[in-house]
Amino acid sequence: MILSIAWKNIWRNKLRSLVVIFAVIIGILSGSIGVSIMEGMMKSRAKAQLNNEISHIQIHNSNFKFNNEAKYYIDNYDSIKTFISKLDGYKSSTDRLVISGLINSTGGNTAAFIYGIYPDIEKQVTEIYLFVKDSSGGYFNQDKKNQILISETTAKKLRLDRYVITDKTIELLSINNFPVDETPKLKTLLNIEYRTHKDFFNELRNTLDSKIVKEYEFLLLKYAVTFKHRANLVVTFQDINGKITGDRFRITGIYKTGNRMFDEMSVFVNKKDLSRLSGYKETYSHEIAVMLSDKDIAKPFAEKIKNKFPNLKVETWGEIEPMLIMFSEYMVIYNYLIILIILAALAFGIINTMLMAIMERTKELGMLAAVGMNKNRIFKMIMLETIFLTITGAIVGLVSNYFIIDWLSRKGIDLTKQMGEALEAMGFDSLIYPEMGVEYYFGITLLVIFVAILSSIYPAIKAIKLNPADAVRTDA
Amino acid sequence: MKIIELKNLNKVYHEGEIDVHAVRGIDLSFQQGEFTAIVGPSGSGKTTILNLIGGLDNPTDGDIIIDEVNIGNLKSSALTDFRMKNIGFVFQAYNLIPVLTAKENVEFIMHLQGKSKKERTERALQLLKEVGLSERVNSRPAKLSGGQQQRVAVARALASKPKFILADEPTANLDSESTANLLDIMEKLNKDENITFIFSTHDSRVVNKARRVVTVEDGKVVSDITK
Ligand SMILES: Nc1ncnc2c1ncn2[C@@H]1O[C@H](COP(=O)(O)OP(=O)(O)OP(=O)(O)O)[C@@H](O)[C@H]1O
Ligand SMILES: [Mg+2]
Repeated sequence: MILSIAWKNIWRNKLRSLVVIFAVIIGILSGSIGVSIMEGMMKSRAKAQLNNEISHIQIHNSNFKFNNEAKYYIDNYDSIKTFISKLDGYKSSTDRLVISGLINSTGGNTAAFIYGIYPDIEKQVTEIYLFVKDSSGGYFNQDKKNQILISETTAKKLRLDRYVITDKTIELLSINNFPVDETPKLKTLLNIEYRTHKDFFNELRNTLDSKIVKEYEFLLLKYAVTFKHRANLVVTFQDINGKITGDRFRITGIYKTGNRMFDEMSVFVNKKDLSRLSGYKETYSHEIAVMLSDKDIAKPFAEKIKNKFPNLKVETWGEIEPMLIMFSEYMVIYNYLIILIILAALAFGIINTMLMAIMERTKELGMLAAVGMNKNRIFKMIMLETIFLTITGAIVGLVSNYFIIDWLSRKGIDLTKQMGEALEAMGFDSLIYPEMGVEYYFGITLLVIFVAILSSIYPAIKAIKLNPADAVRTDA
Repeated sequence: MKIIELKNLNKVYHEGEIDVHAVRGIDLSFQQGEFTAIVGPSGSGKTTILNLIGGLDNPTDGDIIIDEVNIGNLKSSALTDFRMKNIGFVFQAYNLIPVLTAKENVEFIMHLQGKSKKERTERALQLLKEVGLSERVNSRPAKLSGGQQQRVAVARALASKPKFILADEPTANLDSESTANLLDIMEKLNKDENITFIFSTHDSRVVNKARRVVTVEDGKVVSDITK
């Protein structure tokens, strides 16, 4: 009965209660949308890192990683593969040669890890091939010798970048709300190629409103950049005997993942070519990458490999990139902290509302105490009212949150224009697909209950301190 | 049978610097089955006396003995419990829980007493019938007239089967017809079921119905007449 009285009491002052409920809804919504954006960013980054770079398990010669010396290789990939492919949860694996080297173009040079891969098998393990722009050429071509796949970042370092405003550029910009009255000016630069970033921007600043150039700097760069096609590079590295060797490679395509650090360090060539030039046999491998059906079984899976091949260094993704795990753990704490802060702010509004409700009902509460409703029950009633008020808002907030996030997770939030550069520099994708795990729904509900109980205490104490004799005096 | 005894009852309110001596050494007793009015000018101490008897306020000095229990010795929670079990209240206003229907209001005390749903419903309907509100059991207080609300309050006060009912100016907000109606009901309950009523009033028509009239002035009993 007290439960139903408490619930009904909330609706005595509908407007006031609705304002509080609405505030809770907004608070919960903004908090959890924030959480879902962070989660979405983290998850997609983690996923990209696993799918493009780390894989689920990596196997090296036990000396390999310490000094990155190519002489520490593995020569029994075949037997390893035979073993692991029979284990539960195995999805795919590949082996690579990894040699550090120098890449030279006519315009510049850079150091990188040269990955000798089997282009087709690699597709089953990593997704790099998905990040090769068609316009840049493409992924490896079966029968051609000495092809190399480099990243946009590397291409820029090698000064292979060119800037051209094309119809496509203008189309993409206008999708991003590029001002219509500036478009004709931009068209005057149509199909003129600039060899450097600097020249391009000087010209842009002369042609367009400088404020617009500033605002659209990142997008202008993104949509106007092209790369010199099929350029020749000279790749040098040490062969198996430590002698400097190298050859000419032709760029087959240019890729770009969300992670600039990775892009900067990695170039890919055909394992056959690298093996022939370096003297490492094709059956040798520096790195074996394994994908599993589920990233969470990596630990036990790695354990089995270790038991079978105790001399190898077998690492799970969590061991290779502990930050991934740490990040997501910190993330959770951070997310809850944000929600707690929002709820704490809401708590003041809730307390205030409940105090008002109690003041208005002094006489009634006095009457209730007079006729025998004891302090425990009055306390309980006020507490329930506070909790109902808060929980109602929280439930509506979380339910609408579910639908909003569901919608956003399909549509994605594109922050390319606002902060694409910063996000990409940190290895995040600027197209974010928010998501929020079920555990957050439970967590937030618990937090809300906790905050509701805390905020109910003060009003409830006020209510039981009322003296029934004073409260029932009608002249007061 | 004596059910209430007041011995040398004193109540002093402190209002800032000033002490208000609202009740000055009252000795009074009430018998089972009485129908008593406490009358007196405004500020004479009627409400204070009723609140003291009802255990809503603590005396500054003296004893209140109800059915051999000195309620001055009871702790706050025990006193609340005592009120629930032994005393029925009818106030001038704000008697009812606005969000509950008439029937639920009557049931409420029985709920606090832990009575079963069936017993609650039966008794509530019975009591509302006695006060002539069978037709309005599912109405909320706001939908009832002032007189009807007070009748629900009487039914509510009876619900816990109290030893007596205290009513502080129960008719003050009522027109003469409702006043007469309420008094008839109270009188009938008193006669038929031997329910003890002690009420304060300003209203001479109400006073005329009483069988005992205690007049207070300035915190003291100045006359005590039983007809
Ligand atoms: N809480 C209080 N604090 C201070 N003084 C009080 C308080 N309650 C009552 N008084 C004073 O005590 C005296 C008696 O008041 P009480 O309400 O008992 O009179 P009453 O006979 O019921 O008057 P009325 O007919 O107007 O209801 C009055 O002088 C009043 O001002
Ligand atoms: Mg009074």
